[in-house]
Amino acid sequence: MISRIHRVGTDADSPSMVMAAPRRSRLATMLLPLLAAGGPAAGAVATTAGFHQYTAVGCATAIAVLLAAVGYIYRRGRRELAVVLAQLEHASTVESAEAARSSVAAGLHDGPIQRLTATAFTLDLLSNALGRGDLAAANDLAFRIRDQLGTEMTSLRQLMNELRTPVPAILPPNTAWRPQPAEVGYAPV
Amino acid sequence: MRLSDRPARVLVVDDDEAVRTVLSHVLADEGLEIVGVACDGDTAVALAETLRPDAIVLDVRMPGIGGIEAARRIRPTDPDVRLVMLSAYDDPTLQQEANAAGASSFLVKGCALVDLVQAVGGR
Repeated sequence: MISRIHRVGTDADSPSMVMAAPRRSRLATMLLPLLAAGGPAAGAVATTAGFHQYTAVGCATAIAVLLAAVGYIYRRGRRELAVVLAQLEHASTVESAEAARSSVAAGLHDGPIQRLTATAFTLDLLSNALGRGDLAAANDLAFRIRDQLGTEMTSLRQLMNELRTPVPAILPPNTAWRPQPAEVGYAPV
Repeated sequence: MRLSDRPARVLVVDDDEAVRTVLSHVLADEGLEIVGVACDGDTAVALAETLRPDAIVLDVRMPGIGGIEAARRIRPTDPDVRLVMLSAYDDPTLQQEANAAGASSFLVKGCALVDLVQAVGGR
């Protein structure tokens, strides 16, 4: 960028010189405070480095443009970062909900469905026993079914309690993502 | 050699012990011969190879390889075995997967006993 300004400023025959010079002047006028502070310093640096053809105003203008570009990139980066963070937060929420749903589905499959299946087959056995007139076996099977249903009701009650209990209360205190009381608006049990 | 006048020899596969036990009892009560039980797909594949049952009742969702993958491995080794999938899920997609894997029938847990016995080939 600096070399382009240099070329434009020294090549008086170039058509771009005619168009570029006023723009540079406007920029210099608008950035007067910055020029006042950074111009002499930049000019001194340039002179020390051997770039005698650079003027202090030219260097300061280049620095101002550079700073403006950096500012634009920074603001744009922040906006994009905010969007990405929002997307990540949404994805995390969806993922947590999906994990909870999958967990409940797996729990229902491994618990109530299996035990009700066993109970249904036991009822078939009871029916067969009654069909044979084997009352002793039928009585035994009836008691077994009663036990199975009682076990299942206890299990379902436990599942209901777990689902009704707020997540922070059933997590260990040192869980990394455990919400703090202030975040969820109530004190943990 | 399989004889048509003898009770069908059945392998019962389910990861839930209660289901496995009562399913074996109820099938035996229906006159079928329970030749083995397994609690996962890998064991089912191994037992199918050694026991050569007439029918295998396979749970779909199990630890390790599930029932569908077990069926996929068993089918090429025994084209005649009846593979009866017994699932907690009433899911057409799962049923299609089971059929593609070589299942003979797909039943949902809680089905009528007569349907299960018929699928296994008891009567």
